[in-house]
Amino acid sequence: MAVIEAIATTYLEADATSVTFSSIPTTYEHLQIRVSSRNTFAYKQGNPTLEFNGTAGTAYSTHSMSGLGSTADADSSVTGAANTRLPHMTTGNGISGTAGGVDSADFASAVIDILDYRNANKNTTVTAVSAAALTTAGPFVSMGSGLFDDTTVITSIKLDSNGSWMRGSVFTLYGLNSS
Amino acid sequence: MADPAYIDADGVLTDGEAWVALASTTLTSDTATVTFTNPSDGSSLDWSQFMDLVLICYARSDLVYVYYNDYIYMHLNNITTAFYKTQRLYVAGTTVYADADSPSTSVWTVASIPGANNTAGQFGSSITTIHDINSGKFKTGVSDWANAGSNNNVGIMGVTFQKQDPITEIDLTVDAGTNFKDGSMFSLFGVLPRMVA
Repeated sequence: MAVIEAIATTYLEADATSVTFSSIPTTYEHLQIRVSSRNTFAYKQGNPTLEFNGTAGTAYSTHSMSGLGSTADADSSVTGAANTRLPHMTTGNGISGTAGGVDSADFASAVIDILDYRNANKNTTVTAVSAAALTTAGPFVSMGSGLFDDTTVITSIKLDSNGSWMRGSVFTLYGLNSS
Repeated sequence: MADPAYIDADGVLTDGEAWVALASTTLTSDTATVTFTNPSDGSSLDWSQFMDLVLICYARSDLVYVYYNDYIYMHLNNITTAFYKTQRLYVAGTTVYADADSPSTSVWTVASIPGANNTAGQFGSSITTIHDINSGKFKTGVSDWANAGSNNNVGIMGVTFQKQDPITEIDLTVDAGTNFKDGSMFSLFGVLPRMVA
């Protein structure tokens, strides 16, 4: 088996409200999702969410830090939520609530790591690093953490967009092994 | 022409390693510029098949200035004019900073690295990802770095390269110094998407 294997790639040829990787094999040690995306949120940055195994409820937490222009920003910790929020993970499609104003070629990049996802004795922790320095709007770079306070083995991951993921967005799920 | 690694001898698509080591350089003498170029030969190292590129740097500058760090600068496709939009978040000493280049600047800053007056043997580390390098999008990526030299500095930088052409060349230089010191190390990887349905 490959040390790093591409499990699945989803390339959007039309807008979609969410992207789901399901039936994830338990043959890897860690998972990584690499994303180039944009959504229909009418602001320069979108705030998608992650949901594991179709579980909503209150098992998720989020915490992040961001660079937004000259501001170093810390998002206060959110606990007891129905999903893990990924602040500034994607480029949006507008400025201050109005669609437009973002260059059509602007997409954000993100790398999301999900470690030891198949261990039934550990809760699942997520790290995400994302950025887009937009052509005509404020740039951002963020590092976020998420917690799924549940020891269930991760078998599906849903990336939900606040709005829709836009055409041209691409998501690849990788499995990592040490040998 | 060699078949890419995901095509077997019978022409069947397979899914092997998603990360492909493209090139690696460890400098044996002080060097002004490190360049990686797409071979454009249809081989397993041809950049046109990759989704992302990942650049790993472990470097030191010859800049002589007391306690002063240098930076690694990156230019893509030989573009040295203002097509790089940036956002940085970093800690220098005990202070956190954020800044952005607006309008765009002429360079992608990959890392803060030690200069020559830092303790011998200290190098700065950096990992840079450039996403969706063959798309018609502007190319966006993230660099993160750690420089625990005398003026320690750790940070992340998001950059949008405002060009829609595929990435075919990467050039690395230092900012204020003249050369990368010998022993500096640079490695480039290509990241494949899922090749088989």
